[in-house]
Amino acid sequence: MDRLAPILASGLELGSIYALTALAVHLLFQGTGLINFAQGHFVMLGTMVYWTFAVALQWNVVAAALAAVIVVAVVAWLSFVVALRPARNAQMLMLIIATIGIAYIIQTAAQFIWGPQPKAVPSPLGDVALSVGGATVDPQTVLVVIGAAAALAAVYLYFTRTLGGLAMLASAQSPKGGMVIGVQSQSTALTLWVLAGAMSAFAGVLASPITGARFDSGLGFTLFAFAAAVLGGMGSAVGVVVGGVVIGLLQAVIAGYWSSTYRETFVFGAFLVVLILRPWGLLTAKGDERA
Amino acid sequence: MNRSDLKGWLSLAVALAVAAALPAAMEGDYALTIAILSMTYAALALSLDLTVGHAGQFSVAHAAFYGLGAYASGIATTMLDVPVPLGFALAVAVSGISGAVLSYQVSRLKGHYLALASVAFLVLFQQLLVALAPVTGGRNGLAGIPVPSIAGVTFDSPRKYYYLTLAMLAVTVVVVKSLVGSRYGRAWHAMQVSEVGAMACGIDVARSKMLVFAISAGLAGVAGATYAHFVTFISPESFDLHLSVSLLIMIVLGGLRSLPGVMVASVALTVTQQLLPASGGAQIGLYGLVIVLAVVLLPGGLASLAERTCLVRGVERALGGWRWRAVGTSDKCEPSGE
Repeated sequence: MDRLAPILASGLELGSIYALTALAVHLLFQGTGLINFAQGHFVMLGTMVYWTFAVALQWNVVAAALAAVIVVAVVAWLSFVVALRPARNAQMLMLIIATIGIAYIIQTAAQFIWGPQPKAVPSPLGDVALSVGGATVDPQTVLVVIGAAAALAAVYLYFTRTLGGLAMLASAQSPKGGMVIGVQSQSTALTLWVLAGAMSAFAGVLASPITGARFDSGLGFTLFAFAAAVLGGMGSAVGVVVGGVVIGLLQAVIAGYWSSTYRETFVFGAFLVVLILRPWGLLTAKGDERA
Repeated sequence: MNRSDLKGWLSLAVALAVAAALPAAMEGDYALTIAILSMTYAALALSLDLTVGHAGQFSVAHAAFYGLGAYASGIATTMLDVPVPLGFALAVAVSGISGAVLSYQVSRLKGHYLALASVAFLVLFQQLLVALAPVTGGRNGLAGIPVPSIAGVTFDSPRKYYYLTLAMLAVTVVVVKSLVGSRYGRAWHAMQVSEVGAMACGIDVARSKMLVFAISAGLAGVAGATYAHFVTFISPESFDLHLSVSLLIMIVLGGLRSLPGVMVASVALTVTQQLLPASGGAQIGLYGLVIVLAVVLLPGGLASLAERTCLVRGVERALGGWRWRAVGTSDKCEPSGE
């Protein structure tokens, strides 16, 4: 029991970050059919920019987090305008390949700007452990889980309660139908892309005290987000979020009770088994698979 | 066989003859080694183009199929003392079956789900290579892979191995070219243009995807075995995501579905890669730029460049035959039939 609580806490912490990134992948895929290999690189960029403002420039934590989200959103917008919009008439396949190019460019730029050394980011709540019901919990864990939950709630409200969000859902279901009511599918794609970038940046801000800021961490975030998205079923937003949490917990339990060497082997093994046995995801009914 | 088909095969025969004469003009093992690697990657890119270009299925698992072939033959020949030709056959079987299994269920889903599955497959492959260290050698790699000896000839120098690699590339080219022109190739092409349309024509889309995956993976397996028995030492880094991305660059830069385009791009990229000093970050950034520029400015690849400048068409006609363009693109330079 003494070991279980911190293991579950760290699993939940990682899981919240995967859930947020996976939801970004899911929204873009549902809305445009595009699979973004650079999604994790936006997370990495979030950790880097947050480090710059919060640690190097000693800004207030909230201001630094906001700045990180805005800067990454601008980079996302720029990458869309430069690399994806001009190729909008190309096959989806070419656009997926283009996102790999974007990922590579972001990674190299980060390496040149911030250098190859990983950077430590202190938690805004300090590192004095909290005591919850006899178990000790890192305060950053609480912050990450609450932060991720708030972001997920905000995204949910945006897509169910605001005109902009509903219009986007409509356009995602039928681009032509959306056009009839005045929604341009191109601007929907851009909005989704930037929104997904901003969500990833926020995930990066939350993750930075745990993972630090490293230029080569992007691919890892992308891979775990993909695993989470598939595990939960790409067709369901709730499924994707649950998938993220499950992957985080699975990783923490394997690392805590067995060995951190085989952690990825099991996560991706589970990912592949689910893909082969239940390719529509654990939480999506069979008929719901994304057509 | 119609006339343009005949011309295509004839020009391939000429290219093969030129390639066979090439080592005479090369001095030193270094140039020959680069040539061998170029041909290996050309074969890999061509087999990847079957799934990505012809069938329209995005995949980054190709490096894993290549690695599976390399390890299958490497392990069988070093640990089980299997003769090398049998190792090659094993490589085809292991990679081909893995390809079929990977695409079996996933191919029923529409959209680019396969992209996600292929990522998982590649990561898992890398993880297993390390986890199964007693068999695979783990991160230290697998050493002492025997040099092939077929029909009394031992391929123990780059000069000799060049011909073995050329034979492998020739087999790949012939398989790809024959398949593309066959009913299977037409089914893949229909599927790539419109899955619904293909289904309406009576094509079993799921089965077609499985078939193309199995064949493409099997060809990657042979390339892997060829590589393993040439370098005699393999380690997980040779089969990572970066290789899959390099292969994607080759086919996009060459022009999807253009056999000569893909081959030219593979050779050009491999040679550049070998000659440029490897400075980690810069190379990745350069690759990123090349991908984005190719997708934005040259979505048809080098093949479309050749089409745009009609001069090249003229040269092409003069040389008689290389179809330097993607299937299904219009040809403004050809005189119209009126």
